[in-house]
Amino acid sequence: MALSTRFRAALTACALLAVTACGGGDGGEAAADAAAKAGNKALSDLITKAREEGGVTFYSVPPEDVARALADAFTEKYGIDATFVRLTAAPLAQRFSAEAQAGRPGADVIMVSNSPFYADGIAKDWLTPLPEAGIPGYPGGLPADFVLADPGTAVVQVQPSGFGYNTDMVSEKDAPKDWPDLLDPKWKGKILMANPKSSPAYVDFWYMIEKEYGIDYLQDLRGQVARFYDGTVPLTEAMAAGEGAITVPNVTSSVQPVAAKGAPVAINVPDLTNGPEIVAGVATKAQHPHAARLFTHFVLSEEGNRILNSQPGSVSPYDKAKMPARFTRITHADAVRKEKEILGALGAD
Amino acid sequence: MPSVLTDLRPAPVRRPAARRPRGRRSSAFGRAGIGIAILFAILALYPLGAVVHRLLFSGGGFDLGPVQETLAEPGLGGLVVNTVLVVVASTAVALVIGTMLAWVNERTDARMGVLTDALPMVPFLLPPVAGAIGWVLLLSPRAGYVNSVLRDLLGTVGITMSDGPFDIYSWYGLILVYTIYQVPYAFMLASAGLRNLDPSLEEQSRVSGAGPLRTLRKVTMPGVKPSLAGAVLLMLWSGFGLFSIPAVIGTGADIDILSVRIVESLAEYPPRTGVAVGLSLIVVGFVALAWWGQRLVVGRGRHATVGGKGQRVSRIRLGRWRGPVRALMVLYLLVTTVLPLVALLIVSLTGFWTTKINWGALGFDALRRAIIQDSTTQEALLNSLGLGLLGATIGIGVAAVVALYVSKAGRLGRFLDGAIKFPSTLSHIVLAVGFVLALAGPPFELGGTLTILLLAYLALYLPQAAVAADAAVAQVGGELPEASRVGGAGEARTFRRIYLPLMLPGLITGWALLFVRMIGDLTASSILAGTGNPVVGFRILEIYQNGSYATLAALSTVLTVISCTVVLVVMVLSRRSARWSAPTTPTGAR
Repeated sequence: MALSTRFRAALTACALLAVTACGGGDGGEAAADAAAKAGNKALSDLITKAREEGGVTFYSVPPEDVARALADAFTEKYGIDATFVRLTAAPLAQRFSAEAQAGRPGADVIMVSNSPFYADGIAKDWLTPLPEAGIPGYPGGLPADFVLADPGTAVVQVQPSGFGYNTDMVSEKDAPKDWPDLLDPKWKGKILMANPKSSPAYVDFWYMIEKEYGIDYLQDLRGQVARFYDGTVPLTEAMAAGEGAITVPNVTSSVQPVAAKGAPVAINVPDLTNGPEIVAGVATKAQHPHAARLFTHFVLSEEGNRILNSQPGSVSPYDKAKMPARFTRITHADAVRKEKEILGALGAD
Repeated sequence: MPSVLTDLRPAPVRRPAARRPRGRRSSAFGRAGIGIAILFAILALYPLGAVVHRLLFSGGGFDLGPVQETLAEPGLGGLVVNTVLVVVASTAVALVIGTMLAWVNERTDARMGVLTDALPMVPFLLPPVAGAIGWVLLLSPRAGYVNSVLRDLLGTVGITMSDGPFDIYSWYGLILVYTIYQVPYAFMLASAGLRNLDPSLEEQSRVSGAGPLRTLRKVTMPGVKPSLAGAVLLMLWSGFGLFSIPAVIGTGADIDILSVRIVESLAEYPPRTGVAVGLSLIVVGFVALAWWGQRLVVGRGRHATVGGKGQRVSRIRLGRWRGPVRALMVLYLLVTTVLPLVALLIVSLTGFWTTKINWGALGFDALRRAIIQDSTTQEALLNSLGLGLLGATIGIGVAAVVALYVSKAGRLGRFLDGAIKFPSTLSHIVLAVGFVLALAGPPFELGGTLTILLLAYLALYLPQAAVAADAAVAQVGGELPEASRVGGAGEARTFRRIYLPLMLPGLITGWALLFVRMIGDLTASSILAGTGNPVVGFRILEIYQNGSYATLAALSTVLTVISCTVVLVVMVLSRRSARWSAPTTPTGAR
């Protein structure tokens, strides 16, 4: 047994030498060697085949900076070029599904918000369920909470939502910290809201609030809101300019870059919250099937996952301590049942 | 009214359409034209077919569910009424403003060279998403730059307000921005029409004792009717299709617009493609109506066309009104083009939107980050330029051939003409999905290539070129081609010596229109562009979704400068090629 493992490892090493002789960085070789030495034949085989494919493309909902950092780290580690397209969830889903229907997905791997699109993609065989994808050691060390047996994927990033506020208009002491604070009469007409209709994730979000505080809360909140904005970029820009004092729900990844330029904005994350969850998926008809699996393996590993979540505001599943105290997962199917009522209460019907 | 014209003309005007010379049907030109038209009809219809097929035969058999779903769409009535109101109101206002600007610029001594020639076009060169954001930056009730300045001014006379006086998030705000984006169509086509309209008619009217206003009403306006009809059609068409403006402003104003609902229903998951196509068909209905009206105006053929004799324009001297008229023009240009651009520039230099501008801390950081440090953006700019140049040239060429040889070639011609024009009345998003379904996979394998973008741009924007080309052809009239044929010139020679030079100003304008639309395309590119084939519109969208106003403003400004340069060059060429721009005119205005 021990002999055969060593023998196979040696074979792999020879094969790798042959491959690396005709291209690729040194990183890949070292990684394959390490895998082989560790006796992880599945992984070292995968590395070999992935390097033969030479590249991987992924679609990313996580922002450009971290996507680039992740791609670079992957290239450095395995000697395989990684390119990506960064889009928000809806256009990404639209794009991938059109391409997959045409039988030619443009991405090998997608990292997209956990939404009905993902389950649909698996049902239509555009995406391969991760447990069946042959990813070595799946799901690795990822905490069990974030491994989703149905529809067969894993959460690689969480972005808890909160209350953005303009620091010129609101002192840190006054800034809302919990949900009831938003109903304070002094905020009337000064709250800007992300259009609840612009993403299914907002329906989940407000469903969670409705479950805790009731539909009356949403109606009262509606009376405080000055205007809707489509997306957190225009929402945050308007808040920075003083068009409103408070924005809800907002995410750190939108507020922080504007604050870094000197804009008077900050964010508070309440205990009861949730936020965009990013899951990973492998395209069934990936152009680079082995590289796709290797890349997914990398994103699920603690090393890759920490790079993906290196910016403030996004939390790695490996980092449970950084999660808000009452981070609440919502089953989208439950939220959909109350969608009309919720949108109506918020005045977004 | 048109009888005045016929009386004035040296020879009775007949319909150009009735002027098919013997043997044209079998001419090589005609046959090649039909061949090209068939190719482009397939290009436009095939992807549409792919979408409709998926829509109506999704379950294997025929299924009317999507139609019922569309009719059951909540708030459908209000949605249609809102859209028609905004589009028609902005088209009407834009027609008046655009025609007036064109008339003053072409017929009076208030013209100010390139300034008044080109500046009315600038809003058009700013991608609509940037323009809409520019106006939000100016007229947001609390943080809008204009409002902030006005409040400060009012404060000095003791009036204090916490917000306003203007609010972009309102009906007038929405119509204002729509109008600004419609005016260039009216200005462009009215200018081309005026430039080619035989000025001797106006001269004779004036000599006969009619005042300038009467001449304008009785001679000039009827004479440029085909151009104005073309402009109205283009404005309705583009108005119904505008997505970024109602998305940016309509959401805040709580005004639902069809184009936004169409995109929303596609952005949901699963996408409600059925409803999107159904709603698009409502738009098709309105555009078809406008198109029918335009055919009526152009086809009646009682408008003036270019006669056989040489003329030069004598400009109306405005006398003491010249100053005020010029001031008004400059004011319009300042408000509609300079203000939003300045707002965007300020934001790009400050790094974020704020009314408390720290003038000492302005910097080119956003510009550097958006352009110089970003190789994808550079590649996108190059791709867009290449696609714009190539696409506009092919597009206007095909449109000219179709307008000349195909749309008049009997039933087949009319069918082909319609087949090329119809699909783009649908939402561009719907068609883009069709292009992916039809061409991205086997056997064509065009997914992620520049070719699929080029093909999609051609299918989407060819109709706009066709309207410009139709107007150009309609204005050539029958006298000169007939004289050419009588003189023994063949089809090719007549085309080269008569049609081409006379149509050139109109075609060049159409070329510029196509170029600008193609390099600024946002909607189709959002689906068809990617890492392998990035274009500017795609980058702008990425930045809007996950960037900052500063980066978006920086990239938009660069795009505007590029488009401006190209259009300026084109305007100069267009004027040179216009027959009537003789080196000297009586007023010496040139």
